[in-house]
Amino acid sequence: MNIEEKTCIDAWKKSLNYIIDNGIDFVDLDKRQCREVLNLIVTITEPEKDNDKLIDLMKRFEWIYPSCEELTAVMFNKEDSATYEYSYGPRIFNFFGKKDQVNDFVIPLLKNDRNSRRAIISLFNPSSDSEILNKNIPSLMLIHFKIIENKLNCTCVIRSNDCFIGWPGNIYQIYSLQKYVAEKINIETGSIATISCSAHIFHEHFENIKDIKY
Amino acid sequence: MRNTEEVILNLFKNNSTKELNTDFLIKEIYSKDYALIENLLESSEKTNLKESKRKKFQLHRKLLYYLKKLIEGNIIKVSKIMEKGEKYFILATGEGDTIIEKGYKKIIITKPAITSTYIEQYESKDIIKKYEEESWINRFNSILLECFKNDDIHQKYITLNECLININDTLALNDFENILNNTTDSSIKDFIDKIIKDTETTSNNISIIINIDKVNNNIYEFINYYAKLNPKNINIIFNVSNKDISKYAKIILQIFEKFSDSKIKINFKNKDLSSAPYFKGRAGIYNFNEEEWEIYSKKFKGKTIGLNCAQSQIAININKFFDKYHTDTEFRQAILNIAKTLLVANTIQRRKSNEYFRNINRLNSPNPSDFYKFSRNYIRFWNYDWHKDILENNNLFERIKSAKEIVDNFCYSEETIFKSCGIPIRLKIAFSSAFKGYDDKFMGERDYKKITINKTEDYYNDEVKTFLQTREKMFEIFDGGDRLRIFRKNDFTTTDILHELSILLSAYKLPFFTYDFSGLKGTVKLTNFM
Repeated sequence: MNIEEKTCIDAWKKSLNYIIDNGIDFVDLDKRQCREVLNLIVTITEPEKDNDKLIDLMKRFEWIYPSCEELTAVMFNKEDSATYEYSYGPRIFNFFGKKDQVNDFVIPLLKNDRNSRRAIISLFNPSSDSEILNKNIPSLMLIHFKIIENKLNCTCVIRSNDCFIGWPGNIYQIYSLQKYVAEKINIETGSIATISCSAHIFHEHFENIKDIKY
Repeated sequence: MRNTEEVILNLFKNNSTKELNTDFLIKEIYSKDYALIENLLESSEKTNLKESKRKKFQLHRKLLYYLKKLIEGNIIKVSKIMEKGEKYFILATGEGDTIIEKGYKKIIITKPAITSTYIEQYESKDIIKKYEEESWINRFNSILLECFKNDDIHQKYITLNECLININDTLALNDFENILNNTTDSSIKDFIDKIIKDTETTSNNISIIINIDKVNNNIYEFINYYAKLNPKNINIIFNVSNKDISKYAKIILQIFEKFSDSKIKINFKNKDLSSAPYFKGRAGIYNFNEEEWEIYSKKFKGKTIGLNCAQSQIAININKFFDKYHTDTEFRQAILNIAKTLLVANTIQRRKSNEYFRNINRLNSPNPSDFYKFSRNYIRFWNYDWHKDILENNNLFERIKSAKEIVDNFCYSEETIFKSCGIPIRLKIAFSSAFKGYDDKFMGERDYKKITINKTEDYYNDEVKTFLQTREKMFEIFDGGDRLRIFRKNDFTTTDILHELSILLSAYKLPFFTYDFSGLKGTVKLTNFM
């Protein structure tokens, strides 16, 4: 399924409705009722307009949602934090102590070749993540950058995506990175597309979804 | 730095966590001009009123010029705009010290690493209290250091010493017999002397955990030396099981004789009921979740120097709470608000962990994250009279149980939310009782029933039996550990002691209990067995 909208909020609304209407129910390992669709592609053509609005919406609920500062810190902190099993920042900017995938690869590559199709960042490391008992592995697997019509577009593959709770944070984080790269190569940001292998919503959140006042 | 900017910054410095609106800032900064405006406002003449409005507008514009500059410099930010367009401002800097320097002038603004929003209303009434507020985020409450068979005592001291600066309550030395059995008397004495000094300097506690069934003859000299010194901040926890009583009677009796002589409390953990360590701090008892301890023992033990046990803790004075609030809903809301505060505290701790706990991370290299795998936060309860509560049917047990369910669900949901955003956090909150040492001033007088044993037969009286059964229930609810204190008066014989221990270890589910001899007169000689 492909969903394409100008703004993050519209794309989010449409994808949540799509999962509720078309998803298949199952019970996960933690015994939570879940509704899921496979391979949901959501494209936001102008994410710069409202990528932080979703975080504000999530803060209206009873729970505590990660702050914008923490979401950004997780994406940009190069140092491994002892208190996380994994963190996006070190994998992006210091992949297992060996590679800054953004500053030493994506940015110089795109500066050198604006048509490159090789600007990919990988967050998954089979040597540590492909363990049967290891449940704490990144959901965001890879980010692909592509310049079209002088705008930097982003495509992300998310293996497991809680589209209600997780997607707003993911979009905010991805946009922060997209903006960082775009500024370095001196162009504007373009679209963001998320490909969610498992796009799901937990039943316990159905009521919350109904209650959202956009 | 211009004078007005400096005045504004000083106002924010003195209100580092507050939102300040333009009216407040104008009154403080242009106090003389504002007084004139107020005079004009009091006048009934139209021209004066008009003039006052014009002057007020001018002051606003003047102030906004400086505020804008500070916003551009990322020093302050707009926190909210009210209906009539009135703006509120707050410091944009993070917690900790921010040095604002322009030219030769320097202003240091300290924004405390504390988020109290959720519990402010209770804190102001002295109902809820963070433990060691100054360091409740940049230090852990307690950690556990493992002692392995081939550990060198000098190296162990260096590690312990490095860890002490990162805690604000207690450090436990687990399986200490591994060191005791292989070390000479003088080295052990030297070690004890040094840690006594360290705990006095830092006001921290150290718990030495010894498995009675694994000690050798070195234990006797150690007990004598410890009893002679009677250190205020160091306590020993003996892990025993019911079957150890007869087998290791000689050691147990030596402990009773020496410790009761010096009026030192003897702490026992019942190994048959709990394999996870229990230890004591100023704030209360600490332990680990049994299932997680099993996982740690099988998969992680030896990979790190030990484990982080407690990250942050908050206590609630139950009697005071129900004096001011009355419903279960209010109680559950207060507990949920504590949980939220702990989550925020953990968030800051995580963000700053590489800065605050750099040396601990280095000591656990290459597996620093394993050290934090099983840590929890604590909510501690003070001044609840369980015994009276049960007699009067006040339902406090059920209240606490239902609050625990709410807290567990909250933790689970938050872990899921953060994980969904690529932030794989651990948030666990344990319930436990608080000790008076948590904070003398906040705690006030104790209000609970004590158990005093004058003779072994007392254990068979109905009142004592009911009391112990009540305490069993408390141990069930307090997943963060609890302690039963038995005040032992009058003389006792070797048979008495062994019999009493056997009752406590086999007839009740009391994982941790303490014999307190403060009411005992004279000295006790337990020689007939030895």
